[in-house]
Amino acid sequence: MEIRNKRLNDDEFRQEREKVLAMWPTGKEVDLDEAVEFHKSLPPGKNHAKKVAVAKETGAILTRSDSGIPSIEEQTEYLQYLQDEGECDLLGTIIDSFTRTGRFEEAEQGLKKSLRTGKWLINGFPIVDYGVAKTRKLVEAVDLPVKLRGVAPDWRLIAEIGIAAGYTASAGAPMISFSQFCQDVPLEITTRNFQYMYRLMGYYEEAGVPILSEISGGVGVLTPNSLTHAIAIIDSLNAAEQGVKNICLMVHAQGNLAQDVAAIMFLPKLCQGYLDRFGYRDMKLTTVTTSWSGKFPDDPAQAFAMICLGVIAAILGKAQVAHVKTIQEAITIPQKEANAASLKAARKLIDILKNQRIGLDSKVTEIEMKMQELETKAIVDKVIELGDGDAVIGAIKAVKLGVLDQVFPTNRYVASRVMGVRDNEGAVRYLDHGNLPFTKEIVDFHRGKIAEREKARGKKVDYESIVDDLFSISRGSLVT
Amino acid sequence: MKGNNNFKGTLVTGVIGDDVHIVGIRVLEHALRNAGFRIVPLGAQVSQEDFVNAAVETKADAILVSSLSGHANVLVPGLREKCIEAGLRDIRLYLGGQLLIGESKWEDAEKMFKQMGFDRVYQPNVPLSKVIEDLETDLRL
Repeated sequence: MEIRNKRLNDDEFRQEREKVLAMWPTGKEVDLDEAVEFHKSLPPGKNHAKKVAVAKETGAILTRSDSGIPSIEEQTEYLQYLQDEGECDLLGTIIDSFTRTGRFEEAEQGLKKSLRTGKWLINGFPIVDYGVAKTRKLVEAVDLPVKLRGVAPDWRLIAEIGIAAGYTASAGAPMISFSQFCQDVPLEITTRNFQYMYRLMGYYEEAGVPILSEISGGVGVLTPNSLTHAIAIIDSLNAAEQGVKNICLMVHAQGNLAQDVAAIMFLPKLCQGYLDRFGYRDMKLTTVTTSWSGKFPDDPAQAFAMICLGVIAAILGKAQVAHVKTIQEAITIPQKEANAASLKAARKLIDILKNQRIGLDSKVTEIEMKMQELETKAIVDKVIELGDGDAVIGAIKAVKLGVLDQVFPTNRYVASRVMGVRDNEGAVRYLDHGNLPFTKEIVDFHRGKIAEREKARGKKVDYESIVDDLFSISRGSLVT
Repeated sequence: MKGNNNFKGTLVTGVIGDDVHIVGIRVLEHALRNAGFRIVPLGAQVSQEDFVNAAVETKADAILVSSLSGHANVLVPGLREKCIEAGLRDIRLYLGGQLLIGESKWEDAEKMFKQMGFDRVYQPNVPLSKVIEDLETDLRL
């Protein structure tokens, strides 16, 4: 299959749509023109892209949470509870894993059995089985924008049905779904599937309905920022080519505030630079953060602290959206009360801090930014060079060479040579940069930072340190 | 020792089952690579056939199977037999992770998996240095 960063033409898109919509009977419900009219009938406050753009203009920080429940009635009640009791600004539904993997028949059986027995036998909201008309009832029952949440190699029918039903944002991107959400799907396939989703979002955009694409460069656990930055930039070039205009970039806060804040502030600037270079105009870039995505503390009070730390990073970094995990993150799928309580803590912190001028030590943040810039550009420029100017062709080649890599990938086609570890202050550094195209200056910087930890703690930093760092936040302090 | 002479040995690694728990085996791979082994990582959701085919292709000395779904008793039986069928009579088989659901006694579980043809069976909290030592012993390095 020949894949490159080229907008799908109308014929290609139309032909592929027929196949996508035929994947399950509810695909027949999708009528693009009618869906555009439906979106235009909704108030602007229910559009994810518009609401986030306003936040960027006004300097507001929006809280966001989500849930995934098979019963549409209970899913609706849960989201209403987050809206009314949790003072949440943006909602989402997590799609169940049968639907995510295209097993719509099993999702349907699981849904029926769940409703019959009252026990949830599928782990999310089976949006494809519900279809457009039923899902619209959920969208109409809340006052906030709703987003599709989940990552999978083929998100095409989920996006078709979700957006037609009134959803105005979606997660999912080619690289993260390839490297961390499947075992052996080639990057060519996930890229092609997401080109379709981006083209669909572009269609709505051109019809006057902005749809937000959330792009994450990885799951962000012990992962140096430049790696996820580079991947997010490459995927943004892919999305922009297909007509996406509203991109929200995800930064996973990992606990060292100076580094997290630098990442939140710097990723959109770096990404904008590449979008400009390739001539994509009128792009609206925003940023979303989430707190530590590794093992959370079991204790709810300690979990509150971790949630608040992530929100502080969002405030200092001037992100537009703070995705709020819950105090039950480590224990279970959260109940609505725990979810709402977590959101209220985040909201309170934002309300108190929003008009204060707070700065971190600018020298420390500047060093982090400088290194993130050097490293990210080294990776992205090499990818573009490998593709003779085409980021998609370059990414496919780069993955084979390990020039693009991932920390803890699930896919066997990823080199899996890169490892991150914390330095003495808890910032995440490259313990092993594998085949990433780094200069001596970059490599020496990371070695030096790791050496500081070794010296301060009198212990060699190696694989045992990675294990320590994976559990440190749940057990005690950031670095043990 | 077979395979490439620059390495202590060739190890096929992966996670068996439907889940995508990956972190443990990735850290182990890193440790083993630094200890001088050649690693053939298969990632998550690896089938028995995938393990055997990769071992044949790469002339591996050992297969390291990680299982975290608690279903190891269903997922791993037959792997030794498949190796023998493929001509890998002497290959070492290691198993580790969260192998079973519930309160079964570790000694019983270890015995059961050893009877299935696994040379080494590990609990989740095993120090990685122990795995490296065992490999060095078993591969007579």
